[in-house]
Amino acid sequence: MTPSIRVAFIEPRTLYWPGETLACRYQIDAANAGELQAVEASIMWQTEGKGEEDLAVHAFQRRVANDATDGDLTRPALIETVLPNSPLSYSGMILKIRWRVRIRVFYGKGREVTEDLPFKLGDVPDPIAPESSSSTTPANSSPATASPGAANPGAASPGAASPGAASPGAASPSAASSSAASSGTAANAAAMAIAPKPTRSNVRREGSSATDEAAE
Amino acid sequence: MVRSKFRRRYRWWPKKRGSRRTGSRLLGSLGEALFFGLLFLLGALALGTLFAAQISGSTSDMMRLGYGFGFWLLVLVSSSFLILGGGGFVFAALRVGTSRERRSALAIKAVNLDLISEAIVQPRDYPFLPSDHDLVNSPGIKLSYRLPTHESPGWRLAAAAAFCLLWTGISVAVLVIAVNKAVAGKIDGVLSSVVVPFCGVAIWSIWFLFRQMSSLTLLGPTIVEIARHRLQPGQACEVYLSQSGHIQLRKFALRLVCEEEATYQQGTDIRVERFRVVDVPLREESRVALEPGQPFEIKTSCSIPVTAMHSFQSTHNRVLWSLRVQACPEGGKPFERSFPIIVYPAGPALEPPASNAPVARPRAVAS
Repeated sequence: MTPSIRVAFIEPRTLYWPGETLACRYQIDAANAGELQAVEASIMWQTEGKGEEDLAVHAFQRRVANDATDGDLTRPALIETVLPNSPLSYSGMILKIRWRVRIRVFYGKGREVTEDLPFKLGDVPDPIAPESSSSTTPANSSPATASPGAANPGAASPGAASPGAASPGAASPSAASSSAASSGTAANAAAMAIAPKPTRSNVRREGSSATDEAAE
Repeated sequence: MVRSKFRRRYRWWPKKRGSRRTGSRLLGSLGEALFFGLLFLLGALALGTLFAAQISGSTSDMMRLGYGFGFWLLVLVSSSFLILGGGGFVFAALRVGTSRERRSALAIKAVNLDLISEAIVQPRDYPFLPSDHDLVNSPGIKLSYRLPTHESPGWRLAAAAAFCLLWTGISVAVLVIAVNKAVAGKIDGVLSSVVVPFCGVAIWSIWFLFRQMSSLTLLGPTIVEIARHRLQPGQACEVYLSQSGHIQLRKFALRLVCEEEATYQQGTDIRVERFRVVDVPLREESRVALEPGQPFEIKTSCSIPVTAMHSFQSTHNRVLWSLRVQACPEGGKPFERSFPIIVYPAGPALEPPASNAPVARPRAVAS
């Protein structure tokens, strides 16, 4: 029987900030505990999108069955780490960076099962801007017109700067994105040219012009 | 549980994209191990037979190679099979039962060793941001930092020159042979038909080389400097640009650009795709006349949008921030020069790096 994995954040939220401590509790439910060989817990990020997937583990923990001190793999365990400054979670057009807690259980004869618990590190909004701000700035519009508050992102969004202030509502990535977008100054919103949706014409590709259908 | 969005359906004809698995991981690893194991066996068998035949002094003509070139070539080929097969088998065996996370954790642990980490240029506090080494070691004249260019135009010129020389040499040789034959009254139809396209390509390569040379000499070097390093979203900094040359420009622009870049393998090709997510015009000028000794100068400021993503660099994916200089010469082809900058994640304001060199003699510049 396939073991089931239960994993949850200690603090019930999915938006974290660099420098914060992320703690996660996990437990393996298996009918036959002796069948479990190893359990790996990782706090990691992974890229998704057009390019090859890159992955980097920030915190890693491996428990094996024959470990004398922690032989029972079904017991609840904790993985905890201080989150790094970068890379922040990002949902771009052809590149996405996803942070997650991954629990991988090795059992039986070479079989394994994984459970992912995604979370967001930082609050970088999607690069798709609303349609109303799709105009580009005039040639000599000086970005120095940005308000002084904009020079210090922390000051621009005090709530965002204070990790403790992140409400459970901020756990929703979409809600977090919209709040951050509204904190941007008008000058920057106007200055930021709009990224259209990726189409064959606006995605610049080096190499031959093979179709995307073949790629997917 | 997060599942891959990619279809697991296996198709015979299209090129496989990337290293993503389309089938069972275990079967794939077993297949790999089997392939490398067979390669190793083949190499071992070939090498063993070769040496056995030499030592035993086989009478067969086929096996009698002596210790000449043929023998050593066979030794080389068999040894390469042996090494590739053995190495591949060990690598495949090690990967079975080892998760990607564990491999990544081991790799990062190795990178954090002092000896290795000193050789890897990456901001320690900001993992997976590009190195700022090229930026901080070059002080500017007007502002603190002179930006290195993304690609040197000299490389394109060198490649064009090499191709031109090679192709023109071949074409001249073919032309001389064809002319000699024609003079001798022996016109070779195949050779004559080859001469025309060869000469056509040679003429084109000479024209292309001259065009590259003229664009490089008429349009001189571009210097871009910024006043502040460790820029973060929402921050602004001064930018100085100097463009020298001797040409009339129809349009000249300086832009702040952020691009996502994804690299992937499709079959045997490596492809790179870029998508521009931020494109802010900082300055646009029309009808600019570049005169020798009088560089065209711009001093402006740029601000990183508050909502922007920071610079990022991993093995196959990047988020690149750069200042782009675009120019359209009168009657010429537009060109673009890229000067990368590094944008750090938003947060408390960062101090400039210790190696920040002071600016030498600031001068008034026409803005």
